[in-house]
Amino acid sequence: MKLNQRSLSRRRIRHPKLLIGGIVLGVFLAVFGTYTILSITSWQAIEKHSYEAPNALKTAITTAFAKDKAGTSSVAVKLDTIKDNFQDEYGANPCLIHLVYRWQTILPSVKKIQTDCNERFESALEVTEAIPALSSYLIDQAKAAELVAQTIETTKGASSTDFGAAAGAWKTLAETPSFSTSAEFAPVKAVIIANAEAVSRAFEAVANSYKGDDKAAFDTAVNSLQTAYAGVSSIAETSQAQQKPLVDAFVAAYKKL
Amino acid sequence: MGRKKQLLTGVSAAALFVAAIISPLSLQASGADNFSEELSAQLLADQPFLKITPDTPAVPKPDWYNKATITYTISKNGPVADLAEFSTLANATLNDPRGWSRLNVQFKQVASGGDFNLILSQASALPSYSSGCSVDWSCRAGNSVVINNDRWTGASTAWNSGGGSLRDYRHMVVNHEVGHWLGHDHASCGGAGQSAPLMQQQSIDLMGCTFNPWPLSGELYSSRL
Repeated sequence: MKLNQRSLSRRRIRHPKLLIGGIVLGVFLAVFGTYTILSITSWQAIEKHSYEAPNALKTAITTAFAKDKAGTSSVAVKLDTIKDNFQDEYGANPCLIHLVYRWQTILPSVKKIQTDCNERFESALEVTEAIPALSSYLIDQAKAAELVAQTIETTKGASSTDFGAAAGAWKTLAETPSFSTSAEFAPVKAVIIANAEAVSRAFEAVANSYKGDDKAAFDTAVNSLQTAYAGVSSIAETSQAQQKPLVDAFVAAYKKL
Repeated sequence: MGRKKQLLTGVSAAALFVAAIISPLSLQASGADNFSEELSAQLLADQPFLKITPDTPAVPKPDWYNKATITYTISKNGPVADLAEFSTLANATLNDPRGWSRLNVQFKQVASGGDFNLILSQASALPSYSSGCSVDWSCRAGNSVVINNDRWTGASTAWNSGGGSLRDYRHMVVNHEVGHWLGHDHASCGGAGQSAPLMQQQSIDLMGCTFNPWPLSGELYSSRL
């Protein structure tokens, strides 16, 4: 027994290089294995996060605009809330990986993970970037529509004694620049102003013809008032035409999520 | 043999590393959805202008609108009083709600081609309009309604002695002569103390009636309308 043990020890001592080599290889494998596991975990996390942001955004949109939620708050408020929440949650780019793993993008498959992640995150950003223009437009539109509706309401009962006052009310609307700030709403604002001026002039003509005794002048004034009021309907057409591309841009971005 | 085994293990680990990264990861985005159409519809439906109904306010026709229009010209003959004042007062009288406008007519002054001509004439020129016209009074001859400048500026003796005002006389004389143009003949006082018919010759004699520059209800007719 003793002879065998001695013989073994001698064999081990006889191959010290092999022993060191084994230890080095073991350590290398341990470090390499750990690095490999951490790499895989990191890239999986990247990929997972790359889906998280757009998915969260998609969920926020579908929840806010679910049929049963319709009408609970204005569309502009919903959109702004979605954007703000997204920026709070995913303000930092989730596709950035730690420096020690970054070299791995030389592998095409790894590069694809990062490229896909960037694309997905950018698609989410594209949705949030489409929100401000649409939201501002909707806010301006709501303000302007309220002013127009108010003016119509206050002047609908105009009589021979206050056609002049009605003309003044429409003139005030035409001279109120505060209802719009967004560039996208500017064409609609121009149509509102033009129509308000036309209605104001028509009311003035009616008021003046009332004082006179010229039937033709009176008829012309009444016709011009009817034409001017018909023109007010064109505001809706212009507004729809302006709103559609903004909605299309937002929905197109949403589809890419 | 052991060395070969270790080498094999190392290569396997490397292969595993590469394979693990290359292998497709299981996470997938959720499938295509139909929500985008609904989203688009909801966003486009936010159109407050479509809810606005800009109905044109009802513009009631002015009182004068449905009245027949009688046009007249204004002119003068010879040196007379202020023609502008004559024109203003005549128009006010003719369209006064107490006057002939109650026939549902409006009188409109025109530059030419009027239905009748209202003329402020010096007294001496009156007979030139008709043999029936005299230098003392106003008269109507065809489409010429001629107001005597002397009466316009001083009324008449009977009127003044009865205490009538010049303003009322002016109302009366314009209405009276236009009344002739409208087809009226002279009328008589209905009884002492009653309002004189407009077509009574109040300039000459009130015959017990009281001054009245406006047509009575019974006088509201015209053979011309």
